[in-house]
Amino acid sequence: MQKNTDPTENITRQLADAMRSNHEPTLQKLYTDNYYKIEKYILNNNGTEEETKDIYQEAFIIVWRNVQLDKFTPGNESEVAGYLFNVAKFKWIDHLRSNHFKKIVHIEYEEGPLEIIEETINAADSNKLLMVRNKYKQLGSTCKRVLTDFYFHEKSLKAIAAHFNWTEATARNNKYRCLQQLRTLLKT
Amino acid sequence: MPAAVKNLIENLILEKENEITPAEFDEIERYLLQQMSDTESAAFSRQLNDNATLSIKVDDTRLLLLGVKEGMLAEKMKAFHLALKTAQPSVSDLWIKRYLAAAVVFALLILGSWLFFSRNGSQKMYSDYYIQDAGLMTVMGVSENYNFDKAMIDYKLGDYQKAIDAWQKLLITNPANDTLHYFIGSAYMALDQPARAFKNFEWVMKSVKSNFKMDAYWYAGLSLLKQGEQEKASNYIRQSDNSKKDELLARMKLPATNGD
Repeated sequence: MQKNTDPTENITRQLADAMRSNHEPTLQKLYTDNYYKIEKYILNNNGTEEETKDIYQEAFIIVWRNVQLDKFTPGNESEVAGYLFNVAKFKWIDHLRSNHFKKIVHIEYEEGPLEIIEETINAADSNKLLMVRNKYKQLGSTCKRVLTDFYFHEKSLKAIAAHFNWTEATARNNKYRCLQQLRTLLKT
Repeated sequence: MPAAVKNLIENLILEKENEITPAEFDEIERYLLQQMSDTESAAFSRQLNDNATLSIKVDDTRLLLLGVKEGMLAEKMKAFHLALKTAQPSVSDLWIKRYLAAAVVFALLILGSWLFFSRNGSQKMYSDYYIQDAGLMTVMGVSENYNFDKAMIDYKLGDYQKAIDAWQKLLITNPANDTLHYFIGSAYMALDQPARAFKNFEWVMKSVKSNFKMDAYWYAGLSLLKQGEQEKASNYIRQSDNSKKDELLARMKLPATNGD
């Protein structure tokens, strides 16, 4: 049984709920409102626009993930902004400290416990999530639509079936097959 | 039996054991999405404690579904980013509204300026000589100057603050760019913030080879005139190449430039 609430209906819902249910206007607003502050920080610290985008999107996923896992429950947008900035900042520092980064740079930062700010899951799980994200890109458009509607937009199987002119049982089977296809891709 | 074949068979058996059937998946999914009743959920949790294989399957599915959602978010972010970087003003109706808004702002500025400057000598002169820089030609298109051009259109339409905000973002990567400073200064002049305008013109005047240098002297002088600092203003106006500089210096009752 899916949640009955349509995420677009109640725009006054709490921010954490909106993030948990992937209310798209909320996610887009958070993404847009916080991007330039982080861009400024990274560009001022030897980064490029492309690197900014990658670091920012990684940080955004981490913040979103921690909301999904109930590890972070923001009360307002400022809390998301602060957390997102810290995660992006430490991700960037981590990047500069990495072995791949050979340039000697001066960077403004305070020492901090990166692992506390950034990760709430272990490295193996983190790698697995990254692999799933990458393999997900290879799924066909129908599979992506079925899975997105069910898991991201929390639509019912009935609504998905109606969209594709399927029966509910077919929608359920196809959802399972799409995930099996993804499991197979993960083994390659 | 050779060891390699034995390993292969063992792996196949293990894989088969870990395979999740549709019925199993339904149950695991209902557990993870918290769609089970309390009793059912408690019973399933007990099964998890007793059945290591089931526990692995649940963990595996939990990560898979989270990863799938992250994949979806990553695709959404692509669209968010594109919108962020290429947000364009919509056509026709928005343009008409903007032109109307710009016309109203312009009319109010003219009326307000006339009422205000008529009371004050310096400011009267300022209003007589200040003509806003018309801006640069722009071609809307996909180019690295797109953001600059877009802001230039805002400037020309009278949305000076929006233009300033956009140009200041570009300054982050081009802090010494004379063109950006010149037009930020011009926009501040249009917003009636002469002190801020002057600071930007100062950058341009310090640039050795700026094409805007002469104009920057002129507008820097006018910005000081607007603030009532006639003597300081004259130093800048004198260094400009504006055709009306001598006329203005004469009105300020200050010596005109030599040789011009």
